[in-house]
Amino acid sequence: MNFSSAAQRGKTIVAVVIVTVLLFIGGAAISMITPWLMGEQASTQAQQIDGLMRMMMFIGGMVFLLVQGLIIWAVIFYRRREGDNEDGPNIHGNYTLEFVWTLIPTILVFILTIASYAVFVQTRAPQDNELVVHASAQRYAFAFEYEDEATGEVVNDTVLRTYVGRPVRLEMSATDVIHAFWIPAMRVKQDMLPGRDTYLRFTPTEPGIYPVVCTELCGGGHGGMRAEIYVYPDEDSYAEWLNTVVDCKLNPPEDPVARGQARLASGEGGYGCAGCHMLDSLGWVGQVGPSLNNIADTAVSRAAAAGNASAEEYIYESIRNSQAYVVPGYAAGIMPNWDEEQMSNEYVADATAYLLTQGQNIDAPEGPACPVPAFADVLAQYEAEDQEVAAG
Amino acid sequence: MTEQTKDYFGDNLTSAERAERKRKREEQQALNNKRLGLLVFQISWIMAFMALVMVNWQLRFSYTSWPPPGVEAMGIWLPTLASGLLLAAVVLARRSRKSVQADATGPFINMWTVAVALIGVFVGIMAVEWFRVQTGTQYSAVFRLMTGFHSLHAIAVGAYMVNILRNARHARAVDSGALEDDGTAVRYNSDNVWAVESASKMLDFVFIAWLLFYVVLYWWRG
Amino acid sequence: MATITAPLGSGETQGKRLRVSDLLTWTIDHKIIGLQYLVTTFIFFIVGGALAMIIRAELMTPNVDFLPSGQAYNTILTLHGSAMLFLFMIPVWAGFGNYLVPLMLGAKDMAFPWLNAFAFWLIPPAGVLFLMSYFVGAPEAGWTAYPPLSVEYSPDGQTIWILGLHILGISSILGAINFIVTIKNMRPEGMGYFQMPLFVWAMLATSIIVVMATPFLAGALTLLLLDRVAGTAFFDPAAGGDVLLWQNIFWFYSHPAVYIMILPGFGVLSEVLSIHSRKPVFGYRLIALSSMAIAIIGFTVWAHHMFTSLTPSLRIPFMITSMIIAVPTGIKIFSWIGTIWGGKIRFTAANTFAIGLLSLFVIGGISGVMLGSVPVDIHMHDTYFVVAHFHFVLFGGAVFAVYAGIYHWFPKMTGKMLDERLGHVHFWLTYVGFFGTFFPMHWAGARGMPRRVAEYAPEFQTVNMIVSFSAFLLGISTLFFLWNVFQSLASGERATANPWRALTLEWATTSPPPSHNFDHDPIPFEDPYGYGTEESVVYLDAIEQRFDKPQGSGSPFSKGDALPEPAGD
Ligand code: HEA
Ligand code: HEA
Ligand code: HEC
Ligand code: CUA
Ligand SMILES: [Cu+2]
Repeated sequence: MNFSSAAQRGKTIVAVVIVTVLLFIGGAAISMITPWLMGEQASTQAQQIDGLMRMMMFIGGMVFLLVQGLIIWAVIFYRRREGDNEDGPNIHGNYTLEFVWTLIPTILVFILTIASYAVFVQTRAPQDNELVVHASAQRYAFAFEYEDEATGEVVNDTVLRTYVGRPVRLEMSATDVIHAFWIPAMRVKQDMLPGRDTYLRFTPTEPGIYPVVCTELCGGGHGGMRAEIYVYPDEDSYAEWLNTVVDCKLNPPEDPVARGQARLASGEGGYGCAGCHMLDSLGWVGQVGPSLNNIADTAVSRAAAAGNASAEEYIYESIRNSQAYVVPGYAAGIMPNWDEEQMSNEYVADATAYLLTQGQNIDAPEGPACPVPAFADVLAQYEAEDQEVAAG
Repeated sequence: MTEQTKDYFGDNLTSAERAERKRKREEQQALNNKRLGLLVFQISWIMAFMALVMVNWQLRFSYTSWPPPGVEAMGIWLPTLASGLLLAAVVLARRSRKSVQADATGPFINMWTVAVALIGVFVGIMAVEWFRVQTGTQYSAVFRLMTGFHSLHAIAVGAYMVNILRNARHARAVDSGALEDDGTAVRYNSDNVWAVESASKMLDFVFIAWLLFYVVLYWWRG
Repeated sequence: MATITAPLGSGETQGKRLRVSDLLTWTIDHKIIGLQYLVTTFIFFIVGGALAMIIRAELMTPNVDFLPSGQAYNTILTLHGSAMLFLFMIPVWAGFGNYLVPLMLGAKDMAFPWLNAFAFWLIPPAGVLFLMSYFVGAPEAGWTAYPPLSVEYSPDGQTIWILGLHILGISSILGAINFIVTIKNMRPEGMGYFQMPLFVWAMLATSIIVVMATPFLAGALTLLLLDRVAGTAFFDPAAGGDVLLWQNIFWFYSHPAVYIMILPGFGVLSEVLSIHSRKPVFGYRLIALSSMAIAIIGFTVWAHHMFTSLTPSLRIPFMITSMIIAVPTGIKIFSWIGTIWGGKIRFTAANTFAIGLLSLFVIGGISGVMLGSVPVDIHMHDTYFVVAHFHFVLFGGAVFAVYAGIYHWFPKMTGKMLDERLGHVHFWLTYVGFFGTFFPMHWAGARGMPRRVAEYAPEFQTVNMIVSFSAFLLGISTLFFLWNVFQSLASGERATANPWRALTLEWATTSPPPSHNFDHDPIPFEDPYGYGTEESVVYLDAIEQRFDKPQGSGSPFSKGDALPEPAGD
């Protein structure tokens, strides 16, 4: 760097200007891939964070191009030529340059920090009229609890249900180890900590089904610890679901089997059975414990092997006190124990009644205990209407 | 460029000069190294105590008050007395070191003995405190953790000092003819001060660490 | 050139060739200890790499199939992370430091030779403990071992893991004390702090971090151990404990620890780039001081690993400090570019790795800054984006620096030259394999793939295939390096004292140096990077005269021949 002559200085300025312009263009180009990088956007938070990410890609992209460009330039033009055994010039530094490359990154990170702070405040700002949902996590399943505003009734589900435009506040807890709750499409994440309540806010913008993922290592089944969030297109379709469920809850079926089915299917109590067991009839896919398909039959043989217990007793005890019977090949104590305060005897009895129908030659109840409209239909209807609107 | 006469490899020295230069440098260096090494170690290890302070601090957030509701705070008098004893031991150890440097073996042994005894009493008080604290909450857990951790250090330094004391007494007995000289006597004097110096410095460390804990454990409520 | 009477001595003592048995004995020679460190840690690198190959084999498909269970996967993952960081990355720099710091200072040995040997010999048992934990129920809580998972929910191997790590922590503190004292007290006459080679500066900054931070690890591990075996409940919320307590203390150590892993690599880079580009280090002082700045700021950023668990209002200060740390790192990056700019860049394998490092580290640094931003990190935390970030800085940064360092100092350490052609094959396979392995991970993470999972959504299968095959290529590239080393040891070309014509003192003695390092107290050249001056040529010629000409069988040595031909185009 030699600023001695005016001509030199002129040349340097021209070079700096050209490089700056090129970097701007390059950074802008790199920032264009942000949507491809981040994937679908389904909340206002996602829009805000993607905006920030685009800025980071722009600035980061410029830094990237500058550094790589300088390296490539140096590698090409300052290679040692064959036969050249001289050393390079004895230059030890240049205060102007060193000042510049301290100052510019300082300014850049300053900008990034301010922008990040603004987005942070924006994405977490409390909203009016928040839909409060309780989420709990346990190895290896999430469970959700809704309170019906009209009746005050609490209902459970293994799916998180919300609707477009309504801000959601999730209040979260965990019972065993740390889990984390992540909805990639919403760009929100929060750890669920035993002993500390945490919360999360987001406002869905697009109807659909999105994955919910556990992102804190919680044990062998961590990879399978997933759930779904259903975003209803509008308040009406959401309310229809809620009312149906509340209705079922208020008028529980007489039949213990149906009751058991409803309770197990809703993930009531956040026990997380679905996270560990496979059971096709309820769509459980857990891998941690033994499959409960045909449990009515296996219970007969296991009960016989364990002594002279009945199948009913076997299943009841397996749930009430998991150490009572331990399935061969599994360690005792993987399945948690819930005391009577945490899990009522009625719950266990109902669950047992339903599980006893899960066998080869037994008539299991047809269809769900509670006739909730299938979400796929809701979506299909919404899309059809959407197209109609577009067409009309 | 002018004639180069720089002696890059020390070739222009005579071999005697070279050897002398080396020996002096190495001797001084060995002592400097030990001193600096101990200092760096102390700075480093005080961070382990800081880590426990951080633990103590964070555990306070689990409760509405500290000590937790229903837990009796520890009395201040006994630990204050313990601090005083430890401080006295520190002062005595430092003066012992001066005595050693002045080759005054008698005062050294006397003061050293008292210092060791004071450390013994200090550890005893800590034991009392350890069993006195009301258990059942994190208050007692972290209290025992911190005092226990600190006492381990006090005991280790105490043991080192006892060892020095035994050596010094043994050497005195040999020198006064009470014991036969079998050549194993270790004498602390102005030529051999490092053991005493390091023990005294480690005792300083134990004291500073204690002050930190004393404030955190006994004075810091909330 | 002026007429010069260079100081000429007669034949110097030549270090004897090293045998394998030397590496297995207790010795207080810092050079042998250095080699012991290097060989041991490199073995652990291979072990950790082999574990990574298992990880990649499992991740070729979305289901758990290669390994028996998710749990088995977690144990492999935990051992991979722990071995790479604690058995390889941290001690490998102690290896380089041990070998080089006394030589660079013209000293006979480290300040505390016995302690030095002791610190090294703590490592093999700790490593064995780590790996043996596998047989009593391997630890499966990741290298970060978050409670409660690492307490009630983990088998006995976790306890062994704690003990192993405790030992490694002690080893690392002892080593660092030794470096600080050596650097402060044993500099030769005429070498002020600002005449020290930058590698020494880097070791100084690193050692300061080690002594200040590692006791926190000891504290955290002690609590974890007590919770596991002594019935305390520091991390158990049911008994008034706090699950975030561990995270705070652990990261208070572990964030500074990532700079423990990279700063010596930065030191290597300053040496290699300057020497092989024949140009003084650009902005020496700022490079030296920025290491210190990174060391200090590094203590204030730890909670950026806790952006999704920390109380929200506390997140902002940690974001600010995390961002600021980009500035001193940027100073280094630009100063290195300034160093090669206008030089006579020689594409030796060492220099190629060093330049490769520049281009890769900056990517990891930029993704680090993105993660430093709270809103972005809330999305990216614990996804493959983070995995991509830290492999870019750890492999693309620190491991590339290890390779650059080995290609650079191998002649000094063994007296043999490595094959430059094989070195270039190694470089290109590594570079390409590395990019294919870790670059696509950014996308996978941002799109929704969490880390530490053995099963994942099927949409990520393609990208994981690409990653896995590239990872195997990366594994294979390592074989070229190993082959190069073995071949060179068996039948490599003899190395001269100063094959790269470097000005730092480790080159002013034979290759390998005699056990007392220097026959006479060496006098350092005024400027450790004073290339491009006539004095430096005189100095370098003097070294050459002294160590290579007298033994003078075969080719008389001229400076041009000493350097390998530039490779590539
Ligand atoms: C060698 C190791 C190393 C290094 C050097 C770094 C460097 C940095 N790291 Fe990284 N990091 C790790 C190793 C390392 N990291 C590891 C192992 C983890 C995962 C731990 C785990 O959970 O398992 C991690 C995780 C991690 C996280 C947590 C992610 C999460 O879990 O959610 C964050 C968040 O802030 C972060 C940030 C940074 C930053 C800001 C830097 C900065 O120091 C980078 C600075 C460098 C540059 C920025 C490039 C050069 C600068 C310029 C060219 C100037 C201009 C640049 C700009 C203006 C942008 N790192
Ligand atoms: C210095 C540190 C370091 C290094 C060098 C590496 C090197 C590699 N790492 Fe690792 N990695 C970590 C530190 C490191 N890693 C850490 C800290 C974690 C986090 C752990 C945690 O979450 O707790 C991690 C996690 C991690 C994951 C994430 C797992 C998960 O979250 O589920 C993955 C996945 O691909 C991975 C892959 C690799 C690969 C492919 C390499 C390759 O570079 C390895 C190259 C291979 C070799 C050098 C082996 C040598 C060659 C042979 C043995 C012979 C050849 C054999 C065959 C070809 C089969 N690493
Ligand atoms: C953390 C994982 C986990 C959770 C949560 C869990 N289980 Fe289990 N379950 C297991 C394991 C492992 C076994 C086998 C070992 C045993 O019997 O204890 C098991 C066994 C059983 C058995 C006996 C199965 C057989 O084949 O004999 C039944 C019935 C059962 N569980 C029902 C339930 C119900 C109902 C719930 C929810 C209220 C539930 N489990 C929650 C892990 C779990
Ligand atoms: Cu729950 Cu991972
Ligand atoms: Cu960090």
